[in-house]
Amino acid sequence: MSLLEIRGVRKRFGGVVALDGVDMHIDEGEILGLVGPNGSGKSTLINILSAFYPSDEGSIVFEGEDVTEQAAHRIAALGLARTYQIPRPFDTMTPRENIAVSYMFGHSRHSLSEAREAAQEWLEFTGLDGVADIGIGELTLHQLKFLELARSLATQPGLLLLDEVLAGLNPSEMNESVEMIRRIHERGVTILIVEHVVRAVMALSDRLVVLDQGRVISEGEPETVMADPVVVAAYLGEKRKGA
Amino acid sequence: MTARTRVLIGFAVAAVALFFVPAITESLELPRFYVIFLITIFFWISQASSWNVLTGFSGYFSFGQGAWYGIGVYTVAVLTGKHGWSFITAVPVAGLLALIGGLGLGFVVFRVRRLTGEIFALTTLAIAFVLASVARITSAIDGGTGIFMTGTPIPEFLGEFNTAMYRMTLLVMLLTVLAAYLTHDSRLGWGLFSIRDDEPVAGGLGVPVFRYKMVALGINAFFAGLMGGVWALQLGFVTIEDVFNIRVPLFVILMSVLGGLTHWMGPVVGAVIIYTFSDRLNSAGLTDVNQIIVGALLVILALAVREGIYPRMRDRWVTTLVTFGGAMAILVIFDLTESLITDSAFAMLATVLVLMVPDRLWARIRGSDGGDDARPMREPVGPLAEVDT
Repeated sequence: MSLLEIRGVRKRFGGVVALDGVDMHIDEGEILGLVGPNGSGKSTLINILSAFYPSDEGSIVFEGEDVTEQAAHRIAALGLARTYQIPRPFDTMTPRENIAVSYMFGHSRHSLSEAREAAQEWLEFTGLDGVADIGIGELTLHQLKFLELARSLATQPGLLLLDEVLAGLNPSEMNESVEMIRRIHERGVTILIVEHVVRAVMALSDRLVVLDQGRVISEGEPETVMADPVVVAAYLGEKRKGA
Repeated sequence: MTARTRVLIGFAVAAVALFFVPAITESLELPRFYVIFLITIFFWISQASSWNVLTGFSGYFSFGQGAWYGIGVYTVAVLTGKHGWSFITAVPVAGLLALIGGLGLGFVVFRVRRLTGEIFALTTLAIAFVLASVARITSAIDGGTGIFMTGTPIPEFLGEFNTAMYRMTLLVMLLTVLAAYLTHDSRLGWGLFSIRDDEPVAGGLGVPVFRYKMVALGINAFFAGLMGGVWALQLGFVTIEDVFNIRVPLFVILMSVLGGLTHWMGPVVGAVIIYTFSDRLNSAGLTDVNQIIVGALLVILALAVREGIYPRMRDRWVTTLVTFGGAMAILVIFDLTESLITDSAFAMLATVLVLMVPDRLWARIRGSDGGDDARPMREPVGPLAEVDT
């Protein structure tokens, strides 16, 4: 039994089909890479898994429970957390308060005083303890991305969905982030990583799923998948379109 | 001693001190309007604080304060004036009916994703209009004739009319502010702040957004209705035009915005300042321009101190105390005005003006090099501030 089971998920926005019957699964303990050209439905899938918006069809089973129709906070309570591609911190709060709030809710209830200590732990883990009590507006993009990580980790998830955490970072920040993701994984968190930087995904993932035009077109060992002619065609096809 | 213990002790001290004010004014043979003035202040503190739990904390801008207040007033007016209920049993019912009204509205509007922002504000405004119409055409409620409250006896153990009103408004005011404080200083409060900042993200992190918004609206409606119920007696003659007008929703917004929406003390400070000014302008015979002056003051303040006056008071508490205390002392010792209320209005004006000095200029006046002090540092608010101490 896998940790997350997705069956026949469809989503359309007006006339555009974003997801066209996606079947996939995430196993406990793995790092699963989800790649695909622009507009292939990767972010839509994350948004549906975290109940950011509902799917039109299909079912999602998480931890053995059908969560297709569940409210977002219940899914969070079951242990699913996500980050946002464009960081969305609570901007009237300091980084410390951002993390404390997600610890108070998240996977299990905690009091304000417990949240105080836990926030410190995640601030240190992500190296944000130096900027813990300043305004959100003063953080760099790199720090905001780490705050996204710290805040989702503070919910104590079993499954973490990372939506392009590396986008917009310079090479050394990227290496730092890759290390961070490894350390998160070592703590026993299952990870789904959506990423444009293929090199980083290849380095991190145990398994790869490729989406194209709302469908899964390939799945398996990273090297095998990237050599799959269908995948190559999808990427090259996109390049040709873009040129 | 934790921050919460300190605040609760502060509450107890304030409660005891305020409780004895009528007795003190009486023994000093001060005029009766001091007590009436305070009764009205308590009313506004309660209305503004309850409104702020929904709007200030969760960010859902409500024009519906008049609806909850109106339900409270009319519940007591109808139950005591037409059905012979005792005042003391009717008041809790007023709070409960307002609570039911609030939860009913919340159940509908919070389920619909599109009803946020302006649409939510307009929906709450519409509720007050609908209730006014219902009351006007229903003779069992009002029927357009109004209800006299003069035949409603007040419980004897509460003392004569003004003392009784004072005690009841004081109690409800304290309960409202306490509820606002406890909300602010809890998981509930932090959940609401996260909803205010980014509701979908809050939900994804595990904040039960629907339930929390319901609770915030429930607290708002309950205390607004409870105080409305007590207020029915103060009004003496209850009419649709008096109860369901724009005054209550407008004033709670002014007071909370001026005081500061993000902190539970904001509406308390705002209510005291705005009502004092408004009362003094009225008694100076400036009733007609009263709203213009108060409105202009609000615009200036909103531009000068965007976050509200209370955060400034907290940051510059020495200045606040010295300015207010000094101004009061001068006004009282030299006997410059005819009443203590006028004295405090002038002292408040002086304090507000001093607090309006921008942070950057303030730092320069204080002799700092314009470094750290000039840049307003975001202070961790609430209990989380204790991390550093």
